[in-house]
Amino acid sequence: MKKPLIMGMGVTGRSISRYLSDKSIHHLVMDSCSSKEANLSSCVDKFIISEEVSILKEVSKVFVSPGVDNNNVFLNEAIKREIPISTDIDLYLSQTKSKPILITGTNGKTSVTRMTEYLLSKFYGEEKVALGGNIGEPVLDLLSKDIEYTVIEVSSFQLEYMQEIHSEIGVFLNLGQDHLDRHKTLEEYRRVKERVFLNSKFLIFQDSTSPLQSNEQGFLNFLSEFKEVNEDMKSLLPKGWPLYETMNLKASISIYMALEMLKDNSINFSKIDFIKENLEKIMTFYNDFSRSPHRFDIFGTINNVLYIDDSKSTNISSMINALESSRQIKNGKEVILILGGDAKGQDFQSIKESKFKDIKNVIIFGKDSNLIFDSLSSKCNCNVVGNLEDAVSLSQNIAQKGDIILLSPACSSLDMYANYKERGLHFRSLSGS
Amino acid sequence: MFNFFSGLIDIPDLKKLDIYLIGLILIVSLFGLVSVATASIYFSDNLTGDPFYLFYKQAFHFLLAILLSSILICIPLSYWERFDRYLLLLGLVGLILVFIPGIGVEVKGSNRWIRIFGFTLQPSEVMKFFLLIYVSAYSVRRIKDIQASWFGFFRPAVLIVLVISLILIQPDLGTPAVIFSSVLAILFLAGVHLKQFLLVMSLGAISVFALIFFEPYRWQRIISFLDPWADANDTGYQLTQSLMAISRGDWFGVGLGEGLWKMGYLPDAHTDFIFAVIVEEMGLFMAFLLLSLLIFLLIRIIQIGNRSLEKRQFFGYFFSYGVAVLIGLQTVINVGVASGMLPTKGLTLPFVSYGGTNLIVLFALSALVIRADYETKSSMPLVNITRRVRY
Repeated sequence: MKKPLIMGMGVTGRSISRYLSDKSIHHLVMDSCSSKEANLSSCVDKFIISEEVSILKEVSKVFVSPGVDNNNVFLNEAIKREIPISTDIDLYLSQTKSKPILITGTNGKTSVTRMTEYLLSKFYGEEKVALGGNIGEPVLDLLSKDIEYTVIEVSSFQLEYMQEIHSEIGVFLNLGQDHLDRHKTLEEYRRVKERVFLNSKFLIFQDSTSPLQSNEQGFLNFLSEFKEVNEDMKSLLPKGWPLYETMNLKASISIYMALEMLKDNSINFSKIDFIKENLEKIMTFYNDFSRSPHRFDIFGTINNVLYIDDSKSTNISSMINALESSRQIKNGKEVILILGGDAKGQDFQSIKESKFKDIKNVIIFGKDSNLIFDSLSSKCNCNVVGNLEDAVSLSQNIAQKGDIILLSPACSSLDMYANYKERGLHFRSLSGS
Repeated sequence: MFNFFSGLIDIPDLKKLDIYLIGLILIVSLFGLVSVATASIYFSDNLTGDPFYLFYKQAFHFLLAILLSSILICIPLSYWERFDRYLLLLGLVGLILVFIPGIGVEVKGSNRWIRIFGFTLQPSEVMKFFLLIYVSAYSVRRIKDIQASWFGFFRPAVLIVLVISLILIQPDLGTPAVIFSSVLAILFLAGVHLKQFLLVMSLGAISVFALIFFEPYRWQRIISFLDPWADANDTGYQLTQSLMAISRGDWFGVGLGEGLWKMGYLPDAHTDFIFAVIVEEMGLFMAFLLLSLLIFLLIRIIQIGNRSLEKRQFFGYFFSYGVAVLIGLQTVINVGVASGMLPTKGLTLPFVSYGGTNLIVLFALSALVIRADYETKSSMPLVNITRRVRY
């Protein structure tokens, strides 16, 4: 009898294995790391290390963990053989009684997910709201809990393989160049991201991410609705937050607003009145909110130089955001930018010259540093170094009193680090803080 | 040792087996198999990619159950009667293993299963079988004690309370309630004094009430069952989904395989709430037909019990009645829950719901009843021995 197979035995993979074992369903697991073989449930019939495609004969379904590479030979062979692919979020969405809120986008989805969870638990009570997906608990572990709303961050990778997509609210924050090594073109990337709107009762988007086909569902453009209060929001922004967070706040408030609209079926609901009424209250809530570390985190002034850790920036648009935000603090001439790593096929040539030309210096390191240098050298003052140590010491040499040293790599950290957190922490320790 | 085995297998004369009961059991089980196939499609596909995964498993359980019961039919009832205490002990070990990490499996906060050699087993189900044997055998052995003294009644009562407490702490309230009732029925037939009987009944009722009242989630179920629509998204969820499925089915159903509610809306569609799926797809008509079959099945078991009594085969008499109460009560509770007449309680529909141990145990119980019937037919005709009076 064919059995389901789980690819990747990380936190998510293990939660899937636990779930299947609870239902007495025997399954196979696959992980390239042999140390993952410990503590497997007795319903795991086989642990597979080598990605031998012949095993697919025994497989009825493949559950992929988010960490699996899209170009994985085994995965592609499974698709070719028309074996159904699924994710843990599928299982969750098909079983949960709670109202799921799915959030995707190129940048800020983690921030918005966390901000939304924070806001909703302020309004509906902490025990009613849960955080799922890449941050927080694996979603399948939430099934045993009695919750009303689940805020789930979904990546384009997950959306691509999800079958059971449905949600109370689908949110598509923004679209920028990223994962082009995976999705080939921006249009394809966008199509995958747009799947977040499938079977959704309410859509939240902005101008650039609005779905091509509109339907009868409720929808809200989270940037245009807030135009009127834009300046108020900026002035109410908690201390030390970069300006681009207003965008994320707008999305979070929109989600809360949408839930309220769904509650009373949108009768007598004036969006702008609602925003005006609640804005101040909501903004003061956020004074106690701790932002994601490594996301434009101004962590210290050392020798009169301001250090900003934006290691979470793994694509061009988030790097541009960080650059814009540092311009709000200082003049562009006082900003030294450190970037580089695995560019994942992004086109650095496409960045407008105006974004860069006044920057004091751009220091490039990592795997794709020469590629990036070729694209940027005509636009700004840049240097190539081998690694982050050299990048930091070079920037410290260039830096004068009052300058900013900003790490916003615009690239994945996987060429040199385990994840962006490790890269950010390394940067912090190099800065001497 | 040779003595022990020499009489163990006594292959019955096939012509003397009760075809009527066997036929009913097979028809109801096949009906159940079809129901499991359709009710579990979504669940199976979602979790394994194979829409008939659970159907195949249940079909395997079905064949295993037939094989096992064919063997059991060949074992004379006297063996069960003789080894009842060891069987009870075995069952108790199973109930304790449930709590041992590595062997016991915890699902949603309940310890109900053990896993050995890749097989999952539900000891509380197996216990139904062993406990009915024990109580029947005890009643035969000590019928005089039961009728005469308090001690005769309370000695098995202590063991039964121990068994039931072990299941209660899993935690599971439905199974103990059913076991308790069938065991009590046997003791009642054995001639327990009415006073003692009523005392134990009321003690049982009070403890069930206390267990419900002091456990918030159980109390919530009671509240929500009285008005499921008040909190249809939360505590009343399962019941309201079940009621919607039933209402969609109407008299003749929407057609086999066409049900909507099993598609992730109705939790446990292939186990505790399979009745709702049956009504949705096959209609009230078929549901009533199924229930009638189950009622005929029960009547037949009771008839066998009566015949055993006539032939003075008390073990068969007690056991058959115990089985009848067990199956009957489980059916009533399951259908009552699915249709909103009883508070939500996880119990399966006998011979129909998905569940390996459950199906196999039901077949094993039936096998013993069929054996009891066979022994009434094959035993020597009773001679009315007039007792000689010694002067």
